[in-house]
Amino acid sequence: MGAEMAIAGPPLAILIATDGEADAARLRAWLTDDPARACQVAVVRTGAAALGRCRAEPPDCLLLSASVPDMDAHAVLEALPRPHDDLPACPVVVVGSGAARPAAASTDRAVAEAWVDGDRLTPEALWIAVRGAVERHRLRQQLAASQAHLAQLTAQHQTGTTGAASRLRAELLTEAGRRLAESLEPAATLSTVTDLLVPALADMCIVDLFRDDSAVERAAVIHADPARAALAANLQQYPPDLTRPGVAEALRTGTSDREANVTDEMLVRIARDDEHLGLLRALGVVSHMRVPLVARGRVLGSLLLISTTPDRRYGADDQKTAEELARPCALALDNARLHAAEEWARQRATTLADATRALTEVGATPAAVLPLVAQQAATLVGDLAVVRLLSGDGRWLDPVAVDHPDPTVRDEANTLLSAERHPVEQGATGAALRTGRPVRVAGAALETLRRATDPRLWPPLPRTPTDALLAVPLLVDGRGIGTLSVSRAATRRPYREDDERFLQELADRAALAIERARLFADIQASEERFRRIFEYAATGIAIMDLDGRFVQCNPAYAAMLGYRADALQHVPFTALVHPDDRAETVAEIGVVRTGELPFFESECRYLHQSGETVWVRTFVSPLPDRSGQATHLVSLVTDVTERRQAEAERTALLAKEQAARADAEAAVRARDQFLSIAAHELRTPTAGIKGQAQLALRMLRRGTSEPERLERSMRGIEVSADRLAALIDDLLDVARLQSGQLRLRPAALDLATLVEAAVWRHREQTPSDLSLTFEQAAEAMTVIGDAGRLEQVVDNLLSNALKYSPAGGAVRVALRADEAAIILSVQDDGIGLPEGAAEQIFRPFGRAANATTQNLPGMGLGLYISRQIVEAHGGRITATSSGEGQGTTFTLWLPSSPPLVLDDSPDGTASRFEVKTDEVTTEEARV
Amino acid sequence: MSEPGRPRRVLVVDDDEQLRYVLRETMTEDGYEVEAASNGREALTIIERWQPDLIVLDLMMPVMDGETFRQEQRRLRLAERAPVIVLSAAREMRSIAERVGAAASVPKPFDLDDLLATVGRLAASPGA
Repeated sequence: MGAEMAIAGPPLAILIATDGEADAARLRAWLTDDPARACQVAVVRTGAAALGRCRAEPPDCLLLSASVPDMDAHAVLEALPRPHDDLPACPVVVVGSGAARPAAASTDRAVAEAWVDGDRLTPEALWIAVRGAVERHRLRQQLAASQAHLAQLTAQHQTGTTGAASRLRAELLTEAGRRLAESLEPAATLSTVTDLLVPALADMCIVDLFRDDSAVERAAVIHADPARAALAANLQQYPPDLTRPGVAEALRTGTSDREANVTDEMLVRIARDDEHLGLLRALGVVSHMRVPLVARGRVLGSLLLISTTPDRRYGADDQKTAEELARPCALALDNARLHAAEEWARQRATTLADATRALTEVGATPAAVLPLVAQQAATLVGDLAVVRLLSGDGRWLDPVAVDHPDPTVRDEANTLLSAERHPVEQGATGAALRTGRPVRVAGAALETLRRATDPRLWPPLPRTPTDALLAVPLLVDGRGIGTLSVSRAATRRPYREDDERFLQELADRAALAIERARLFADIQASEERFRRIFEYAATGIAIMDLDGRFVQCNPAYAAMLGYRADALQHVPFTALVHPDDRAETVAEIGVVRTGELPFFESECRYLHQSGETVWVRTFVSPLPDRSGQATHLVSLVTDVTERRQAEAERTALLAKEQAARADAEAAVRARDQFLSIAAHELRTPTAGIKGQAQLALRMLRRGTSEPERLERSMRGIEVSADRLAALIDDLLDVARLQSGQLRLRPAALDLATLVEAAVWRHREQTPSDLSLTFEQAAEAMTVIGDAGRLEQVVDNLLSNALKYSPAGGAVRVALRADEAAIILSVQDDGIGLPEGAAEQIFRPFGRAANATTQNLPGMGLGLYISRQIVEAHGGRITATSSGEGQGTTFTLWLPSSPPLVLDDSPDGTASRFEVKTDEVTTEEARV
Repeated sequence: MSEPGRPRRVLVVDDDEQLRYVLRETMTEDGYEVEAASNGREALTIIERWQPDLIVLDLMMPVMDGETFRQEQRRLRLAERAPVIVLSAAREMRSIAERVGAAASVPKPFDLDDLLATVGRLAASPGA
């Protein structure tokens, strides 16, 4: 097989008939791009046009689209001119599509030389089809010419001689011509020929054929007598030894020879050994002739015709007849071989295309790809195929796939090879990886290699011994990642260059597929990793478009806000932000989107689906595409609500503690200050009393006779003692108030009467230049209270007003009531209050600055005590003033008494009357 | 800077009227020339025209307290050489007395004879 297919001579003229613009361009490019295939291409659009061109000037080949308009392919084929015995003027290759392959019938005139599938067509497959069609067409033409010649000879035989033998030969030649013209299979061709020769022209026929490696192969041994066929078959072992002179000269010279009478001496000379000789003698060879099979100027082999019938001794006529027969036979054989080679090449090309598709399928894993590679190598190159991959440390080639067309051999080889690591430094396989080039060895070179390497690299494979070896590297970017190797026994032909090319192409596709598969696996793993990060991250991750709409968010993000992850798609993120933080957040996103900042980090409030506020820390950054252009935004979000709450609680606690400490410290300071002031205030009148007393004693000791001076000292003592007594009363009140021990004796009383009495009392002591007026409503102003204490308060307010009033001033006292309270106001036009003093004056010793600077007497306890008493009654007291010198108004509110008739209403009003019967302490009343 | 033969001058500064009376009476009897003021501000007005040999000074007074009086006195360079006896009911009297550069301090209430003895001692030996 594998006949030479080189076409010498001028470039091929190809006519393309198709109405597809792109199709025409594609076919033209494939036929003209490669300099080795440079064809002259013409294109027509219709079948009729193609037919016209073929009639006028037939091209070397017509490339006919099955769907060509005007006349379809079938019609064109039918109508093609047929100058030679039904043979069309030019070969036709039909470019079909998918299932549109026409059913071929050998008798049908409309059969094309070749048919190709336009959908799966590759430049290689097209070229094989065109080249094969042209070549076979030429052979057919020769065959036709040869047949014409045979017909002529037959006619001569029939007219010249009338013998039965001549008639037989004439019939033989006619039949041979007819049969051979149809033969396309080399094996079928051979049997066609031998069937005709035996027994018509010979008792035995032996076909010897040259193999590619120039060795001679005994292709067939036929014996007319079935009983002797087995014996004759033994001659199969003795192909002619061309090194010996006089043996099968026809194979060397290309000219026939004949031996009319074979003698025993001759047999002795021909025989290789005794056994051979015995065989030849046993068969009883009487006469023989050998005619070469010559086609296209090459000797393909020979036909050896043997007679074992004593009265059949070959003469010149027989030799001529044999030669006449051999010529079409050689042409037919060559044609059949060419066809087979073309089929084979086409199968390989198609396989490569299919392999490429299969191997590059997305998701193909090395585990799936490699057995396929081994299988294809085993089938299309043969026989044992092994794929090995380089180990991680780069030292070993580990077998990953083993295949053989025979399942039994495959299993055996698998067992023997699959565990065998092949060291990179050794053997043909190692060399292929190291050099990055195919290594092809057979015969003596292989034996040398076998001896030079570790015997373990050559496991005994009895059914498929390694007699020829072809190893090619699996290369990715020029780097070897493994090897693909095939091996076979010596009974099969050694590997050729086209095997090497094919295997390397297969290996290249496999390497690419492996790399793709690895990359794909890497990408998948990587994607899976990132997907898991996204899915399982504790941090919320959201991807938004530039308008801030969610594209995707992970479960953590959705869960944080109480949603399902898919529920948030296309929702603008602002919908989830607390309204108060919305504007700020939108501004932040804008800053990131415009690229002003590479990212933005902030804490803000989001809204949970339940409406609750969720404090989050967000980290927003742009998500750029490959060109670096931001297409999306990524937001990382952490729930910091708990932290925020904890912080707030801690801050509040701290503030509370600080306030409590400050209060405690202030209380201590206030008490210290109080004690200081109180001590000072007590000692001062005491010092006055003691001083006056000692002065008086001094006067008495000296026997003074000035009673006025004595009296003055006594009065001084009295004033100071009064002051001291008042002070002690106040201090005792303060002490009771502060310890909650001020006892009230509450009773219903008319505040109007109480105030009126106080006004009268004070009016007696009021200087004539001051006016004291009292304005009151007609009705009684009943309150529940301690009469003595309330009197104390009113006295304090009146005496203050009078004390701080300037000469000619007026003090206005007014009493009124609203729904809930009795309101007493005492207004003067005295010194007023400096800013901030309105409250200060109600603190112990808290006299206003303008009171002390004007040297007005007073200890600063009266208002403090008054406020405590009023508050113990459930009332309040305040001071207002427009400022210094603007006078002051004190206002006292006391809750008005409820109706005197009590009801048993359970709403708690009754409890307010318990004060009527029980003494309450300031502590209780304040609660 | 006292003039020999001239009666010793004592300035009493106290907001308590009873004490001013008692001190003025007793010290006048003992031969001192006495002026009295009810606060620091009045005292400053007095010493602008009248040079005391000794100042008896209360601390807690309205309008201007004793400590402020001393600061003003120094600032205005008035009666700088007159020794000061602090006479006060304040608890922090001693520390304040020290701060204001008093020659002596007497807590209220006080023994009249003791005070007069101190006055006598300091008035006799005018400030260094």
